[in-house]
Amino acid sequence: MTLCEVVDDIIKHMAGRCVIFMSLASLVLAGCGGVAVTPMDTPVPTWPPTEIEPTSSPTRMPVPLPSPLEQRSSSSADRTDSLIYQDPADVDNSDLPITAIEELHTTGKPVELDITTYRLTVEGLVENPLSLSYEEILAYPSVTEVVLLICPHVFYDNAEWTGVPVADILRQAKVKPEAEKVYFKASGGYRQSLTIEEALSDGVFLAYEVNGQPLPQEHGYPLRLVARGKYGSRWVKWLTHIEVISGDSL
Amino acid sequence: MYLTIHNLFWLLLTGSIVGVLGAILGIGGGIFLVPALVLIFHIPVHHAIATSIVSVIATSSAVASTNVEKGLANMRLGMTLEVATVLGAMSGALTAGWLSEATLLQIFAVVLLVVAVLLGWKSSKSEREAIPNPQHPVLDDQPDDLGLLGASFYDPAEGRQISYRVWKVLPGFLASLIAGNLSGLLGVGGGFIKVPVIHLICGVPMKAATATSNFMIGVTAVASALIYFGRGEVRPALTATVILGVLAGSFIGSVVSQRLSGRLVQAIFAVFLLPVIWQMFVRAGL
Repeated sequence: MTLCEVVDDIIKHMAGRCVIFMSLASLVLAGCGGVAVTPMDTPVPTWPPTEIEPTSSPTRMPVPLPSPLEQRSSSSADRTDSLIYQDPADVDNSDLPITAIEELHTTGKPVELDITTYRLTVEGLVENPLSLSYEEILAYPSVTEVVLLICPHVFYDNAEWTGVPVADILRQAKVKPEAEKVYFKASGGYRQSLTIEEALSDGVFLAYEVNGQPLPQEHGYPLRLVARGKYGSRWVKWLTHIEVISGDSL
Repeated sequence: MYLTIHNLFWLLLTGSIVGVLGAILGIGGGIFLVPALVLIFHIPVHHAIATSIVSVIATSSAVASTNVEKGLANMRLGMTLEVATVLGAMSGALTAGWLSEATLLQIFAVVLLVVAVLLGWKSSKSEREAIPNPQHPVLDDQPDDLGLLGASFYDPAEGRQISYRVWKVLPGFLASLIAGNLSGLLGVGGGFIKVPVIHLICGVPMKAATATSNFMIGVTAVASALIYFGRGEVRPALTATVILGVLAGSFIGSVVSQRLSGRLVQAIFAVFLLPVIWQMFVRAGL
């Protein structure tokens, strides 16, 4: 028996175990995910570790979990845990506690914007295209509302947002009658749309403050879309363009 | 678990469809799973990729277990190339953490476009047959020297033992690095890059190339899945539900695919993929 054959034999014997290991690993990963990130109010660990505040560690997973009994004991805990699986349009957030600003969640890497050159443009099917500076946006009459953000399966935040209703901006831009959709585009390219009716409705506004403080960069500074009843993916952060279109054009 | 029945149903269904498509089209499910989770379920891209990468481990393990048993997967070649795929996967998974959602979506949309073109191209030629490889012919039955990485397997379709040597390992290594990187970055398997290179350049017969790539994909995905897991992007209820769907779907798909014309399905699907790609481009702002 040559050395190669011996190695081959060993590999073949290991192969079955390797496969079993991989199946187990996938299940364990799925299972441990729960241990690692269940109490939903703990911040999701971020990468790289340098971004994490010194008190927490990226491998905090198994540490201070409430016992299963504690978790089940209150029905309100059950309710908040299940919120991430619900459609924000079906949830009444009036009795939910406000999420503290430092506990608000985010995904992905923030985009940096230079506020001195910042402009929000409103274009497309409008008679009066706009290009607004940050100060001009702050000068509009504002609304303040507690709106629930649900990022399905990941987190929810119930914060108090302050900003300018999209309806006011669109009214000033004079939307043409053939308009059907409104695109909200972020610096960096991310884009989402609402129907014109949704965009004009209450609870849809361009927020520059959260919980009474200026919007932090990771939450969309200078401007983020807040859309009551819509999933978090629609809440475009670092908003720079609003484009009004008819259904069949981009 | 607090998953609503509504949620459970749609996630299982989506997982199954992805599994069926993956099995019929002969490409991993990840490439469809991520757009579905992002566009239909509003899951953030990083979490969708994390879900996909864990489901890739599951499907690869399910398929690899039979392939390894049959001796189709070339373990020595696979383990050599895994050094490259794992390095690529870890760097890809780390890179993903640095990228914004928009950038990840843009990269994904471009890769999806490439896959659609590949599917269209595959459907236009007589596939499923091993493309004859004149440069590196298959050797006679049981030759004495298969080299360090060569192997042989029994092909029931041809009714004989097929032996081959592995040529040019370096291009295979480079392709594995790129495939691993895409796997870690986007949560896909990356077989669509590895298989053609291992087959056409390294001279491994198609069946063995596919089986070997499939075996490698699971190991590669474990490396990047751990990084996504460390960032807290693997969501338990979501991932477990989707995996159950994908596994059931791949099983159904593998049964159905034997009765379907692969070429027709690929052609139809290449066209069907276009609106999905369009939506991804729209979301990414390209």
